[in-house]
Amino acid sequence: MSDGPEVRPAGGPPSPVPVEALAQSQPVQALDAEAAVALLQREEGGVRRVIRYYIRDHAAEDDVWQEVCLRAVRHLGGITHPAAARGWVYQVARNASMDWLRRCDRAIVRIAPELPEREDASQSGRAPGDGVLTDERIAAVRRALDALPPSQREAIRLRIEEGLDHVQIAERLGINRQAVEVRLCKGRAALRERLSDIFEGDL
Amino acid sequence: MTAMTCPEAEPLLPLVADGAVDPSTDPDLFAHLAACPSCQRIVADHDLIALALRRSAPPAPPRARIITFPRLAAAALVLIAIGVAAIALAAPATAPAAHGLAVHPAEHAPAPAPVAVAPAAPARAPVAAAIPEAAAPTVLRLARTDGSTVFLIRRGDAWVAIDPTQMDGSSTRGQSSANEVPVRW
Repeated sequence: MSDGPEVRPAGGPPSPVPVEALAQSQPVQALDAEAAVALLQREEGGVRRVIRYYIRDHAAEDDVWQEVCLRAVRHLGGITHPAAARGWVYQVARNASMDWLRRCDRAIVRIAPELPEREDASQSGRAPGDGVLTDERIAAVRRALDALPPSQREAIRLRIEEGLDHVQIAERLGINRQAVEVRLCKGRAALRERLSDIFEGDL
Repeated sequence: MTAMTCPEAEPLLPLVADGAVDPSTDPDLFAHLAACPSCQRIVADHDLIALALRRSAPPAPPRARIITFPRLAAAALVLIAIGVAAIALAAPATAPAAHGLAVHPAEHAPAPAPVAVAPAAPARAPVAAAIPEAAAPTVLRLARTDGSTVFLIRRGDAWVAIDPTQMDGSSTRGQSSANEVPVRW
């Protein structure tokens, strides 16, 4: 999984662009805050759908949506194409959702021993990610990893558990970077295929 | 930008999850992702699998601190340097100190004052003692060879010997009797 680098669009200082320019096919100079807000208003439904893949709590979904809006308004100034802006907003939504889950992970580590078990973890309000990642599912993921070929398993373990980048993994394993990417792609795909059978499409 | 289809995008989705591509490096892929719920779901699955692996990862063993020889040698040199400096500062030095200033013994410790004891009286057994001024108490009780006792009381830089048997009773507090004899140490 990525510690998904936050996208930071390159480019010079933005200049104000009318909202109507977004509908045009030719490239625009840049998006100002007003245009960014208009874009977010159009994309809200799609963005919330992305957030719900990660978070099952409605209150947390609203919080993450607000975070997406803040990040988008702050950084959309360098986007020079509307289609690129939509893809960028998607990435922001994905990053914000994962950041939320990682914050919950840290909270769970601190307070988990004191909290009672609940049947419907998604409604507990304790951790939005718990509705998706139950203990049983986490155990299934670990078993699926153990069932991978050693080369793929080690590459994924180094990438996800130790946080090494592709170059570091290549050095550690004594292979080139392309081989690392191939092992990671195959390993991730194999994991998802094994787990989709277990969770019936609702990971 | 060209529109991408799902069969074209799906092999690249693990790279999206891995962070190997982003909207700046592959705008077509992310434009497709922004509009395709199916591919969004696949990326989310990859992300959640990674999160589950992090949650279930065994804790890393604590790293033992290994002090290598260069560190030991450096630490030893530091200690030696501190010890040498301490010795140099403690001993009186006539040579210039490390900071370039001459150190004069008199500035650090006064020379011990010479001590001498004058006999209290010829008829009495001499009372002699050599007590360094720095260590001298306020009152000393000394026994004579004839068994009598004399007291030495410190008054400033001098000691006064008082023979109780010679006290005439006229002494009041703070005033010496006729038999007080200044004693210089």
